Amino acid sequence: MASAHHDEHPTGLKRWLFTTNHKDIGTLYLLFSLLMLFVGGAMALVVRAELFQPGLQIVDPHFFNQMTTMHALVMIFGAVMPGFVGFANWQLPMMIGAPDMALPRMNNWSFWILPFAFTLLLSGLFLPGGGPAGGWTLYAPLSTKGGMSMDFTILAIHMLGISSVLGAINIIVTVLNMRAPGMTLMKMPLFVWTWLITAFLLIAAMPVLAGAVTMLLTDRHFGTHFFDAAGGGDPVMFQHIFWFFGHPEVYIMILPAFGIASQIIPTFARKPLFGYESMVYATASIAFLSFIVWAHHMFTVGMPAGGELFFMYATMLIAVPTGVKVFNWVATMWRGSMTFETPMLYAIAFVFLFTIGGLSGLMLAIVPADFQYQDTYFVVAHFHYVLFSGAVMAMMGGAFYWLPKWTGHMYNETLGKWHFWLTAIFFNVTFFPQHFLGLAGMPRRIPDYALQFTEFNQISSIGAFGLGLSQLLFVYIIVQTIRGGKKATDKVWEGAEGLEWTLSSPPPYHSFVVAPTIK
Amino acid sequence: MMANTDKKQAMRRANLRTALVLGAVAVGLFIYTLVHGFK
Repeated sequence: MASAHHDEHPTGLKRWLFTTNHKDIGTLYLLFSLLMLFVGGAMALVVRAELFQPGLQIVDPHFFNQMTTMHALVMIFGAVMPGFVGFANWQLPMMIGAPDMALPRMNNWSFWILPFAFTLLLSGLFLPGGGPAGGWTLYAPLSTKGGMSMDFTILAIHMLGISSVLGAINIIVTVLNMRAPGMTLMKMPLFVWTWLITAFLLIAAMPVLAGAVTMLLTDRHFGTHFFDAAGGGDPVMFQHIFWFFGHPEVYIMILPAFGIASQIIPTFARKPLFGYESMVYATASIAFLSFIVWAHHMFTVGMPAGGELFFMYATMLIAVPTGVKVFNWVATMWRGSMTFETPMLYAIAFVFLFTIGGLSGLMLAIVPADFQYQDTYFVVAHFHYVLFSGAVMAMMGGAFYWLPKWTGHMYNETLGKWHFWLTAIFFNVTFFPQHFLGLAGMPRRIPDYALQFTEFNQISSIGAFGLGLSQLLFVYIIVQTIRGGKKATDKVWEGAEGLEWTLSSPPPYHSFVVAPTIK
Repeated sequence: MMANTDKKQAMRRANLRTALVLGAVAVGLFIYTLVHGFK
């Protein structure tokens, strides 16, 4: 596919600093995401260590609040979003038969904003008063009154937003303009579709967050009162604006996971994806609905009954396209010649566990029930089922699925299976008991709790440390695969379909120099 | 060769055009959010 000339590239530090190659930038994104997974994970372990017993043991409450806040910001903006962008960079051009992303220099810039943004965000922890501690939602007035680190956070969020929007623009332009001849929209792999829709969500949602934090900044330093009731402003307006971004953000973090599962399941079921078109329409429906459900995050602020009913029913409506997707994944597996290699185990766990998270989401959508669950551990359990066993486990499955293609080596299947089972078991040990804690009334974001919550908290903390330690195995497997191992074939998986599998493993530095023709 | 270069240039222009439109939408939404705040 490519001559030796096309494999020439700079080496050393220059290669990574100045690269405009989609594979290099994809690798940078994925490594950054992995690093942030450990940084955010360490913060989660501080939280879980403190919650192992009631009372205050290890950290003071203010630092505890900084840890819950920073854990969320790091995981959302540092681990999950860049992780999926890494997958998009590696896979999208190869899947649509393009030589690279449409705007390669901008691609480099999109990535290199991230390390600076996170240096800014994390350095807040070392400022007088410590890091931001009001929760990742940055609700006013906590955020308008917070210390200097809030300004760092606001600037970091601006930088992350710019990075995301530039990345999204690049993805849309690549998918719309650079597809190989014959690759019509309805022939695109589902991962490409889910990313195309996600990119539109990013462009519509991130500027709203940028607007919200800009208003926070002017409230803090320039005498405005957007969110200050004493000056005629409205703190509840911040929540509306924030969640108008925040709910699409939830789908920004899950739609690409749907795409990865939709690639893996047909491969190991050895059947085409069931209901391809309905998958595309379901993804688009979920994206549309994500913009009209934001107030379900704030039922308890007090809004007219009509508003509560609207947001309740609209939220429940999301279960319909999501149900279509789950049905299609199961129908793809139905009577397939299934094998259970590590990526498939992750994809099946994703379908099963994400559905649990979806169902607890439906419980939260019911207004009178939400009045009880609001700000309890039930919410924490719900979104970790969606975000860890949804987004993160889909990414892990995707990593095992494409790692042989990327590195040219097969990973160690036994270790891969060990990693899967350790992750799946410890994940459930960590988060399933949190449902019971929440239903029993344990509030979230507190360093201390009543005695009756002790046992479930101890189980959860043990699970969290197990989950954290298991990820060292993930790093070991990745390093081992990069360094060597059994040579991967071009197709890698017997049932794999798609353009990326027509390239060599590893693919040439510049793939599809001559566009392939799709029949 | 010439035709190939023209094609590449046309593709670059098309990419830039699409990117500028999308960028304008993003900036527009940012400004709209701020304007909404003044209401």
